[in-house]
Amino acid sequence: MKINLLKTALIGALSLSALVSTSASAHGRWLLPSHTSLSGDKAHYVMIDASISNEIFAPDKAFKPKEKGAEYDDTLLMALAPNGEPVSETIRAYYLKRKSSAAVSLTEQGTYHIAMTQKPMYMTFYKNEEGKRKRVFGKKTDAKLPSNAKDVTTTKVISTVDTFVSRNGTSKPAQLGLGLELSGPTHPNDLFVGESAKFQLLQDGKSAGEGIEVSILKGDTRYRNDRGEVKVTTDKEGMFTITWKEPGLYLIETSNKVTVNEEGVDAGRYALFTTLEVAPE
Amino acid sequence: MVKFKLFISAALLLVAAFFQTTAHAQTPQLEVELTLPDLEVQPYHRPYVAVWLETPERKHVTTLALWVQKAEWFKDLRQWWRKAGKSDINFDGISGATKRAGTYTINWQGNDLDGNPVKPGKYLLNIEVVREEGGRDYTRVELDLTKSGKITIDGKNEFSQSFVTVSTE
Repeated sequence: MKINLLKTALIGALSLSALVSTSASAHGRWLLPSHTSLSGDKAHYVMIDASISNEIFAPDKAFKPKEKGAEYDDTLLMALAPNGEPVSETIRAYYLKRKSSAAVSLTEQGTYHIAMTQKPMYMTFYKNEEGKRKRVFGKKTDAKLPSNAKDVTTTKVISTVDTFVSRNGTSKPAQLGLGLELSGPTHPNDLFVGESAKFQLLQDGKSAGEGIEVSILKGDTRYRNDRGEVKVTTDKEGMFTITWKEPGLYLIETSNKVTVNEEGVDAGRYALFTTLEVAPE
Repeated sequence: MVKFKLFISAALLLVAAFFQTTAHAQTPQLEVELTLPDLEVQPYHRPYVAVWLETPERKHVTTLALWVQKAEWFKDLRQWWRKAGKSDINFDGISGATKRAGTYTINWQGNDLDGNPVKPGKYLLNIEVVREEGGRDYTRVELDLTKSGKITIDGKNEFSQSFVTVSTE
């Protein structure tokens, strides 16, 4: 079973407790862009760091490459150009133990939507002989379970871990169309202290609907005693509003249960981790 | 009947003439006296400066001054960049080189980007100054372009006390 776990590309990608907990704020997964706004005629590179940590934007655990022992992963990240197409250049994310880092080339004018590739992840929960709750990666049909496992259920999770970068102006960001993601009316690269931003939470490209709790957490939690997380709830149109009080990088987190009609899957969940930058006035 | 028509035409002409002169008289003009302080710091890089007008809804009307060097750093004029910088037509022909410390007079003849006189009313005057390896000052004040007058704008570090004069003559 251990080998099985190691083989799983996403082993490093999440903490087990994050999956069990329905709280969106268990363990932050995030992308950290070196820039969110660029100007000038030269083609630009933006550096993207990816990690999993509780101290937001301070790296702790890297996402392990698909291939065991590999020093990089060309499938970890993706970027949608302003025209909505994925960028053609390979995005090579180097595995640096506590984080993965990649340079993404920006050549077009407008907004790039940069995200981790949304690989579905399966978790199987069961009770062992002593009645203890256990979990393993993989569907119950694939996972190696003790013969006497009881209450076996499999959950499929699709996470969106993303951010936005604009070069020589903003454009309407291309949508992933799968899982959860943020949409306008406020542009994700036009955020200023003292102004309120309104976003729509989308689920598979459509309004995620009412009553979903969204957490807004300013980065650099390491340097303060109070995490100062703000929670808002989506309205009928899936909209929520935030008024920025401090400049900085923020992690917007939420998750939602979804129905999955798939052989051997009992439950589904979407999770969202979006990094936004807020400028001082 | 003919006489009556003539009379109406004359009256209309008069009214038209009246409005024209009124409109002309109300074409607002601005004079901004902006002071960049002499800062005793090392290294000192001349600041990037933008002065522009917005509607009360914060829509860019016209950029009055833009003192810059490399487009790579335009984004650091954060507010100007988001409102005007992303489109060349907003500052074509008005941009100039960065300036040393001193007092500069920026004049505006009351025209929008297309060269048409702006409507009299309230506008927001924005001043943004940002210096490489230094700080950034940004101030936005409401101006009533229907009234002549002079106001004082106090910068914090990157620009000193500056003055804005509105004249409607």
